[in-house]
Amino acid sequence: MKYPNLLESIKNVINCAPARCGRIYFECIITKVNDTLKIKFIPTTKYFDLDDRADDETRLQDSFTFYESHHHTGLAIGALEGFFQVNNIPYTIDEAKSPEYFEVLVNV
Amino acid sequence: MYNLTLNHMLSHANRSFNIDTPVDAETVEYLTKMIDDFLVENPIAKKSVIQDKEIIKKLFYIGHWCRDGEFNGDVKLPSLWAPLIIILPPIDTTDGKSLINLGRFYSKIGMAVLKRGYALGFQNSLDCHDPRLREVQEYLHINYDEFVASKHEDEFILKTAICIGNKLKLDSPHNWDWTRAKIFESFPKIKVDFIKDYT
Repeated sequence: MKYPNLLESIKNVINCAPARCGRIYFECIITKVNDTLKIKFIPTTKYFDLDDRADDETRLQDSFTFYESHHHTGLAIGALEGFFQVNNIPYTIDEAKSPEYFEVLVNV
Repeated sequence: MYNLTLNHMLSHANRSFNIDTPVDAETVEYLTKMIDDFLVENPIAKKSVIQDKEIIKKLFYIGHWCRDGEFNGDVKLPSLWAPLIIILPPIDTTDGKSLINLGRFYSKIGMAVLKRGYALGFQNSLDCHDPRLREVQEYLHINYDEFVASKHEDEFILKTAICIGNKLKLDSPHNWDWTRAKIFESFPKIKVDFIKDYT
């Protein structure tokens, strides 16, 4: 393995991606196919809806939630890209299925 | 083993900037070029790079999270009192792919800022009930009167500001709030299993 313990650091980076008031606006699915880690980011409001604190924000209009969920998903992907760049780890981005999801691919 | 320092810094908004110490000209030029290059390739947003203290003061005064329809609330957002504010309002707020790519670029700017030793805070709470928005409408790329005429109740402006500068007190934590002289309490992330590891 070229990058030992990389998976834990990736999860750490994703977990600490910037978020307004601790909101979680995406789901991340990590799989491994042969030597490639696939990190899929799917915008979703399902966690927002589970958050008791969201009760205060029930009047936020759909367009705001749409904006914020996608922008936050992008912030997390960008944070992961920054991590790879700082640590000189090559990666690629697959946008073919966007905006349903973005996938970050790393050969490990 | 891996360097996560910048990621941890990116995660937390700095709450107190030294507004009297401008961001150096070379960094402003670097960031401006970075934005221009991005927008040439991805024409998905407008651009405002704001260093004028009078404009920043106006943004600061309309910067708070308002839920009750009142304006000029007494709770201000300290991050907006920064010597450099960048706002890239999306052109099409219904285009999910563009919004994701804009978010990616915000993180890229954030990492570049942190690498240069500056503090950073993302801020997206402007009081849309405040008529003083009219005074900064060109920086937000809106027509305030048209916005008011067309918006429905409690609508928010979809723009995130990137606040950049030196920390007000170098040895203070990121969440030191100069407006209240205490720690700005942030919400922790909700505890849900949103990262699924199927490796």
